[in-house]
Amino acid sequence: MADSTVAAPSGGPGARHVPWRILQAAKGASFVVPFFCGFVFFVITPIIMSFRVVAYNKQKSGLGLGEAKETFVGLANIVKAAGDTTFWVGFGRVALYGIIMVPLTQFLSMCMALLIDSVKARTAGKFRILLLLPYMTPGVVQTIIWIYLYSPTTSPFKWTGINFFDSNLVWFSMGQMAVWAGLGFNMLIMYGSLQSIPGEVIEAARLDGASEVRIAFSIKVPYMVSSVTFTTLFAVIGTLQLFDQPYFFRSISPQTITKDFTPAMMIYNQAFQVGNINYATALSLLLAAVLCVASIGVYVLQGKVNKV
Amino acid sequence: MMKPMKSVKRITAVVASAACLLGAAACGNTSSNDSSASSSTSNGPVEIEAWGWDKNAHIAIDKFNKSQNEVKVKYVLQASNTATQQNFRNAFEAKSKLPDFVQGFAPLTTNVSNGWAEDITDAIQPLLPKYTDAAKANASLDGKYYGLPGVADGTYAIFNTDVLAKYGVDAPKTWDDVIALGEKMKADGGTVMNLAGEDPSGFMQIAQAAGAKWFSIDGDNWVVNMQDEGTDKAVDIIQTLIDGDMVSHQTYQDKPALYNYFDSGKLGMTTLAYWSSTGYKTNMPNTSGKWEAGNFPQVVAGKDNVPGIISQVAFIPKGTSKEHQEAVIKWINWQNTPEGYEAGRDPDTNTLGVPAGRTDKANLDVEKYIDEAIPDKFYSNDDEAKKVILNAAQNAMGGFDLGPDYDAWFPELQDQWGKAVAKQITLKDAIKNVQKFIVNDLKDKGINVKEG
Repeated sequence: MADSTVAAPSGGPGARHVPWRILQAAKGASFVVPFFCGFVFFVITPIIMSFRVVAYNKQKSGLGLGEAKETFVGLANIVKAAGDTTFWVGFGRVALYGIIMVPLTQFLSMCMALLIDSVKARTAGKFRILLLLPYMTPGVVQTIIWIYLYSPTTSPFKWTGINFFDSNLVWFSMGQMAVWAGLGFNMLIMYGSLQSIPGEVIEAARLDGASEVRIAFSIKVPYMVSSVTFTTLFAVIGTLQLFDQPYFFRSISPQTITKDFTPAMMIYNQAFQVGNINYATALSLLLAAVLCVASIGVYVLQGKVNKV
Repeated sequence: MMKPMKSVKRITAVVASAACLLGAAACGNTSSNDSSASSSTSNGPVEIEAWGWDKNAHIAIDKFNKSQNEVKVKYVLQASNTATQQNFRNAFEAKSKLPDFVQGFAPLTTNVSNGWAEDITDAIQPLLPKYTDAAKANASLDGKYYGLPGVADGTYAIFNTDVLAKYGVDAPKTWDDVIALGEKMKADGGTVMNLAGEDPSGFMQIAQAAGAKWFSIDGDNWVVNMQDEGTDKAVDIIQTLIDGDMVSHQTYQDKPALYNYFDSGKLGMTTLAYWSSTGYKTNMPNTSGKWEAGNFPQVVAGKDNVPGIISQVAFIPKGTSKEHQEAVIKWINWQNTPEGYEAGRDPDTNTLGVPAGRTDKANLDVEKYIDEAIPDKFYSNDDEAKKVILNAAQNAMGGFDLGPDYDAWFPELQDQWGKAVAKQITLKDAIKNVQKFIVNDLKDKGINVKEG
């Protein structure tokens, strides 16, 4: 059994001993320090700062030439954002998109995870990497890939006669990009949960004559519930913050994908094009509130599913 | 094995050191914008700092630094246009030390409106004789200079000679001629020109050539007028082309498809600046050698106006001392000498841009640079092309003010333009919507505005 205390290196008579448990805890905590610093600096601090930013507005006068003056406006930005129909229409769009895309992506990811789980470990490893590749691909590279896949001139699917850039097909084209990018990550998480199923449970089911499909539905899928909840939560958050795909299509179909098409695009436009950081911050806080409610909703739903 | 207490101390020391380093780094950027602080001793050259994204700029700067001992330029290479803007905004907001010169990343009025640009009316005087009135108009606002003079590379047109021969017409001289050709081509499934749904710049150019003036200053008010006679003429031309299905809508985001269509023989003409022709030559092999250059089609018969809307004006940041302003002007002045201009030649491609918007005082051999810029066997007649490009370089219009909120309204124009091109609304309504957006945006910002 290990000693519970360790002598201090400079120990002499009267040197204090550091309890072993505290030392271990300090070591463990030290691993978290880089993340914690980043979290405080890049997440907590901006959130605190945002409450100040949202309470002010920058106002100019006359011809507006020169720096703007900052004036305290209290909750005016939040009130304005809460009543901004363009913002909420954007939410409506992503909500509709999410109702289709989130279940579809989860279902496909689940199928992929089950399929990979059913093959030998070596084969599974190869497919795991292959399916994760889109997730690991940088956004810029993804954009280039899809421009060429969708282009009426260079697309390998041009023989179908489908114009993926057509404004009527924009939703379909965006969804395809999102599924491609998100499938691998979700699959990996779900596949991880499948690895935790005790081998004897599967073996017992087989001995009892259960088919592979029955094993999948009655044993594997229930084991995946917590990981599906996790990936669903991320998918819901990602969908409500939808930006990359519509931003890409905006340049091709601006009549459909306007600058305020999704909440995230509207925030970007207000912050970096209109230059109204204060209002953009108010919209961001509202978006965060909606994300918070949506996340709680997913967890509540998970609780009900678990009870069933 | 390392002893535990020692490891705790080391971890503490590492964290403390990192914190100190971060603190030191943060403190290192808190100097004021007093550019004179970075000057060398009173006997040495004035040291100025320039920001830009031209990867070869240092070559010309080295030559400048060696050519004299009054000014020493330090060039800080930025990753891109966007990075320059972002880094400058960050430095400005953080009240950190700003450079003495910034390559243009935004329109002049935006630079002034944001409080970024210094009034350099006095310092710039020695430079002005070398620039045309248009170039000077692009650098001034309300009678004061806030930017470095320059013009957009003038726009002209190229016409597919096979198409012209097929329909037995000469290259269009006016937009009415363009529409007439478009009607003939339409019958055979061709289009006279391309209007990309994301790019309203062609419409803006026609409006400028027609004499539109969207933003002007009246006392203490901005006057926004997108319903003037010039804009209406441009609206009528574009609307006729759209309604008559005489235009294609290839996006510039999908260049292979764009080039493929341009090269298919189904397109009658396009407008361009001289530097686009190199890309066309490379990517349009079927029609290479069949493009006839012509002046930008006239909106009003008899007026060969060359549009040139400039949305990126180089400037000297606010707070730059007079001494540093003058040093920057000396450097820019040197760039406008034959020696200085030649120093900017790209060492990889051995190319150099066409110097537009300069007067004879700059003593630059414009025709020599046009000769170099004409790709081999692209135009049907190189001599004619040379004349057209020379006209574009020397007569590009200036002074088309983009107002104090260009970054805000241009995305709105893109939205409305996209809808108009897709026939969801008329262009007239689209432009009305943009004007309404601008007026509301300026009012929201506390800026005085009235509609023209």
